[in-house]
This record gives sequence, C-alpha cells and structure tokens, in this order.
Amino acid sequence: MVVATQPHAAAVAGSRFLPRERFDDLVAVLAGGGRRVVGPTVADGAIVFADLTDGTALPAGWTLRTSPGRARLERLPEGPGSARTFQYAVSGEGIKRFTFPSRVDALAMETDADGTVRVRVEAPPPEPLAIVGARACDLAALAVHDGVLVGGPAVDPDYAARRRDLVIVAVECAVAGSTCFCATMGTGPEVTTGADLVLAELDDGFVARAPTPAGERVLAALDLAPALEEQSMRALAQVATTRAVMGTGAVPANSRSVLMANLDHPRWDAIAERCIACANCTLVCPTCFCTGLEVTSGFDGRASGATRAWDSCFTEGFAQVAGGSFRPRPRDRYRQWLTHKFATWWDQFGTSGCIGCGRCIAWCPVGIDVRAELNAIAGDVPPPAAAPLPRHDIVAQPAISTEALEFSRATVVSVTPETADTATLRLATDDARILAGQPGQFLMVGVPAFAIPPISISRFHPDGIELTIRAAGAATSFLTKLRKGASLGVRGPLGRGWPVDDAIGRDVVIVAGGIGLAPLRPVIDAVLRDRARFKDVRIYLGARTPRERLFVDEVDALAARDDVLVRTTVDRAGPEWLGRVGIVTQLFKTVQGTGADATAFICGPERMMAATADVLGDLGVPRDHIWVTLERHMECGVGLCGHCQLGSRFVCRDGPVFSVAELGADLRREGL
Amino acid sequence: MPSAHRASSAAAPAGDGPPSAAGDGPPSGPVPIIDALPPGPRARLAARIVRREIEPGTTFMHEGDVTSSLAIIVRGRVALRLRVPERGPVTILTLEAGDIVGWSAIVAPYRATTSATALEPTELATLDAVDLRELLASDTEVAARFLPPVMESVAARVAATRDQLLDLFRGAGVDAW
Repeated sequence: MVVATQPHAAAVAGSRFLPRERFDDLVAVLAGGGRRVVGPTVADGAIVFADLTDGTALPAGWTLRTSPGRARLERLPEGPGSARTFQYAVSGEGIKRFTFPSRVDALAMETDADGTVRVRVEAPPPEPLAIVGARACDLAALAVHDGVLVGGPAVDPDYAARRRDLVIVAVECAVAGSTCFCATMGTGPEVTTGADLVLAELDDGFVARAPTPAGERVLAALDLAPALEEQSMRALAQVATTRAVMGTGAVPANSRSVLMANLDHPRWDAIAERCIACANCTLVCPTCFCTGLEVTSGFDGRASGATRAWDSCFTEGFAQVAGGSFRPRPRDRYRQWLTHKFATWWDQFGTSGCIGCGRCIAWCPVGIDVRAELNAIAGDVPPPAAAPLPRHDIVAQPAISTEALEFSRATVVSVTPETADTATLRLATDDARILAGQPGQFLMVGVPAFAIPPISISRFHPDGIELTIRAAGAATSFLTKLRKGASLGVRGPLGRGWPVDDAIGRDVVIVAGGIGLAPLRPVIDAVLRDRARFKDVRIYLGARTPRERLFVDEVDALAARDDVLVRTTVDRAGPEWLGRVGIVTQLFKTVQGTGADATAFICGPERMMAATADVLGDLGVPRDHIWVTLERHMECGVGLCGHCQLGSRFVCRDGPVFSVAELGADLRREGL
Repeated sequence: MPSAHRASSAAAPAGDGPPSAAGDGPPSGPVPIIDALPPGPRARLAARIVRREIEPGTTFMHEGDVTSSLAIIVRGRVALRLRVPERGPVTILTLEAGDIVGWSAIVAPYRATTSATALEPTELATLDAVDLRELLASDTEVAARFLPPVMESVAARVAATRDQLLDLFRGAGVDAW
C-alpha cells in the first residue's frame, strides 16, 4: 500500500558510520548535560527499556521471535551478525512509558486551615531524555499520541512536559516479526519522521543520519567518518528486505468503512468466545491512551492526590455509570477497541489508531490476531483500489496549555434539599468562564478525598451557579451533604450544551425524566428570559414517584403561567396523588399542536429519550431539531481520558448534547 | 374473537364512593375512537352509548371483577390502581379524555385487570360489555373498524408497562461517583 523509499534514499546522503565499538561514545554524547538515556536491555526474559550508561546492556546477540500469542527471546545464530544489538523487531513495551507513564500524579487537592479547597494540576518538571532504539512504529505511535494528547483542544500537561525535551535515536528494523505489519499501515519499517538520529545496524556498526539539528549536533560531536556508499546501500537493502518480508495488504485497505458497516457482524460474537478481556492488548498498544483517575487520601481527608493511571476499555468498569455499564459484554468491548483503532480514530484524530506494530497479536494470551479478524469481517467485500494511507507525522510541540484542566474555587452559598437523595447547591464563583457557560454544560467538581464527578449546571446566576446533585456514590453523597460556606474545586464549563437558539421562532418542547430536569432548567430559564422570541412552550416532566419530582415549587409556578404549558407524570403513585401516572411519552397525546415547527430538548434515561424522540418524530418534529443529552462515564471532561466514547464521538467534548439526527442509529445501538 | 358472554353483566357500575349517575343524551364531548369510524359502524355503536357521570373518588371498576362495560373517557381523569399487599392501592396509570377504560370487557375472561377510580369529575361514554361483545360477534364491519384502535391502546399500555418495569429513572442521569 505504501512505498516510502524515495525520501528515504535521499536521506542517505550525508550519512555517517558509527563503528560498533564507538556506541559507548554515542551514549556519552547523548548523556552530556545530564540527559537521561534509556534503551533496550534484556531483563526477565524480555526486551525492556532501561537506563543506559553505555552500550554494554544492549541486547547483543538476542532476537525476539513473535507469533500470535507468543514472544520469545532467542540467541542469534553464530556468524557475522551474532553481535548485533537491535536484531529484533518490537519489544513488548515500546517507548510509551517514557512519554506516557502508566501512573503519574495528576492532581493535588487540599483543604486549607480556613476551609478553602485548592486543586492543583500536577505536571512533572521537564527532564531531558534520550531514547535509543525506538522503531518506526514507535515513532508513528508517538505521532498519534501527539495528535491525541497535545493536538488540542485540550492538552495533557504531563505528556506535554515529557515531550518538551526529548531526543530520539531510532533504529530501522533489520528484521520483521511474523506479527509485524507496519508496511501495511504506512508507518515503517523506514524511519521517516520523528527521530533526531536514525541508525541502521550492520554487522560491524551503524549507518547514521540526522534528520534534525539536534541529531546533527550529536553526529558532529561524535566526529564520524562519512558512511561508505556500500555501507549505505547495505543499510537500504536491509530495510527494503524487511519491508518485502512483511509485505503489504495485511489488513483490508477499507477496514474503516468495513468495520463501521458491520457493527452487528456475527464475528464479534466469535471473537468474544476467545477474548478473555484481559486488557493485555491495550496495555502493550503504543497508542492506547485511555486513563482513569485514582484518588488517594490521608486519614483526615484534608489532603488527597489523584493519580492518572492507564485504563482499558476491556475492563468492566470502564463504561460504568450508576445504572450499569454501557458495554456489559466482552463483545462490546472488543468491538469498541477494534473499531476505535481502525475506524473511529480517523474521525477523531485524522489518523489510524493502529500503527501496525503487532504487539496486541503477540501479547494476546489467546492469540487473537487483529489482521485475521479484520479480514474475516471484511469477508468478500472487494477492497477499493489501493490508496496509500496518510503517513503519521510528528506534530510540532505546542506551548503547554492546560487551561481546560485548571480548577477554580467555588463556595457553597446555600443548600436546598430537593428529594430524599437530591440537593441543589448554590455556589458563588468569580470564574468568568463558568459564569459565561451555556445551558447543558457541566463541571467537574472536586473535594479532597473523593472522586471528581461531572455535574450538570442547573442554573446560572450573575455571581454563581447551581448544581443539582443526586447521591449515587460516595462523592455525590458527600456533595449533597455539604453546608453553607463549604469550599469546592470546580473545572469547566465543559461540553457542548443545548442549542437554545435553534428554538428561536419555533415551538419549544422540553421533556425531562427524573434528574434530567436539572440540565434542562437553564434552558427553561433562557427561554423564559426571552419568552417573546419563542412560540408555544411546552414542558413535559416525568419522575419515578411524586416524591422524586424536582423543583416542585418552581414547576408549580411555571404551570400557573399562561404562556407555558406544563404536564407532569410519575411512574407510579399512591392513592393520595391525583396527578398523572404513566410514562412521559403518554403526555404528548394530551396536548395537540406539536409538529414540524417545534424544537425539542430531552433529558432522561437513554431509553426514555429514544422513545420520546420517536413519538416527537411521529408528530412531525424534524430529527435535527430534537436534542438529547447523553450520559457516559466521564473522568476528564475534555476528550483525553477516553471513557465516554460513543463511536467516533467523545460525549464529554463533542456532546453531551447531540441532535437525534447526529446520533442516528447510535442512539439505540447496544453496547456502543 | 371470543363468543358473546352474558354472565354477570351489571347494568350499573358498582362503586365505593359517591354514587354515579347515568346521564341522558349524547356525550358532552368527542369520543375519538367512535367518532373516527365510518358512518355505519359509528351509528351502530353510538346508539349503544350510555353516558355516565362519575364523582371524584368513585371507584367504578374493581380489579378481578367481571367488567360490566367498556368506557371511553369524555372528560376528567381516571386512575388505574392495583392493590399491593402491605402497600395498599398503587396507581400505575392515569387515563384522560379519549382513553379507553375496561378493555377487558371484550377480552376473555372479561375480568378487570385493575381498579378504576375517578380523580376528577369524569364523564364516560360506556358500552355495555355483553351487548358490545354480541355486536362485535355479529357485525364484522364494526369489529373490523373498532377492534384495531382498541388493540392499539392496549399495545401502547403494554409497551409503557415494560418501560415502567425497567424502572428507568432509578439511578438515571447520575454517574456512580
């Protein structure tokens, strides 16, 4: 699919030759000025990156044979090349843990003596680092991470800090494992981007070229002789052989469209019978970036920290919310992983999420081979004419911008109990970003010792906001029990809110189920503030029981207005309740006139929203004027942690509000 | 279509609350399920309608009893209730103008699946159960036109009941923090 030898051949001009016995000098030059140098070593029967002080710890004389479900170190055969140090294709861990460690300090939260809560975003001090032995696939993965973690709109501060002063010495692969398919994915084996220095290992040394000024400085310091033409040609022939051995076409060129057209393919069930959901594939994958926050605390709860730790979409809790998991079955999780890598990643970041290293194949305990699965799902669908996949390029490093992750302080002004388990906190804040928020947006709310939940803003005031919180877990229970004067850390406003302007000049239909009224309350406020700009306003409210209705006095006041129609129903009630009982969609038949001129805003359980959207659609309300807000597991709120993905969307960043037309079949698709 | 069943058809609904009264004349408002029928079936059904006024608090249909009539609500609101041991009556659905009460009048074993209590001053357009069953058995045009909207109404309630079974609002809208 991709032939990238042309620029590669041009790069050979100006190459130098580093004799094997001078490799120690290379490490010494890299380490100049206190730079940490890491490279591949042999440990625990595997190739593991570790600190280098010279070249003696490199895996000289070793190779790594991989096949589905298998990776074994083997001695190189005796002969001219038996002292080679990079004669393997991929190591198990790659270089990811140096730029994106599995656990890093993310937040420090503490309560001052005066009771003020402070939340600080942690980022490590820049540490000059040199990585020796990265492969083309590793660099492609790094480019993918650049796109995800610093490509915006939000920037991961830890990653940005680690990327700022990084020198990479890459090695072009002289061998390919049976699990390698970088040539198919357009990411290797030639190193064309992302390295400061590129080495091609020959039996007696290395042909070295320097694509960047930093690499040129290293070469200059080593004062090496130019590579002989014969040496350069051998290096070129070697990597060309690696390419030829791998071949191309390992996965269908149309994998992206094939996957999205086959979300209900029986193969998903067949894979699930073998997949043990161990998460190994995500742990060895160099592009997987999903993380979770783990909060730890001292006994007094005054100070706590949050650790950002790798998470995996294969775990049961990954898509967990209070009502259950959005991906309860292993088939759902495998489908999420494979479609993300080969399909929806393109929508999100403009590249493939797979770079063809094959680690997920070799380190899968049951030997599931993504190439075979993709080909099985593609079946007999003829591939389109071969077109090269876009190459992954390392993006320029932006200045560190963590604005979206910064917390500000807010103070509880009042607490209003709404139901037995729900309370509304009125918060004072001078955070201009929050005060300028839109209906439907949400905040991440932090107090020491507790997880940081996303909470919808239920009202805006000139000097603050309201949050209506139901006690569902430890953090939300704590929040509902706060008293006047309590201090909180708040971050936001986040997400895309309700497009109230879409309803200007139209009928407004608002449908809320349960606590779904909380994120819709600012819509009602906005519509009533500017009532003349909207036509009929109809509000339909559902609750589990009469006692679980929210904002009862406010709703009664609304119902008393002659320019707003309010209908309330509950799922069940005792005989003392003389109001309506039944599901919320039954309310529509009691009111005539809703149709093509209406814009609808719906919030409630997903099934209720889908049913409501159906009824409204039947009444003639256009699907692009029916808006819903989705609930998903959210930890970062800015599209960095990966939990809330729904197909190509990050619900936290691209939503949570979507039109029914935007969601299409995804609104109902099970396990997505 | 079950055969006509004449057992235990009561002329007037039994109630717990203040007595209800059979009114004279046609219903005071629309009876959509009948108004929408073609002229022939509409006339044959309309001729059988007995208008009935129900006082608030009156239970005019009792869970488990033989259903005496099928009614269409013309005005008011009616609660369908189930009696749950140790919890008393639980309202599971309220019905309003245009809704059918007592579909069990035409579906064997003709016993009410819930009780029905007026929550507001309520007017019903009632059709005697036995008379209606005989008409549906003998008049295929009426049966063909009248039964589908009744089925539609019953199906909607089944679907709604399934959603209620799921207890959708329990824990919804909040994350497990």
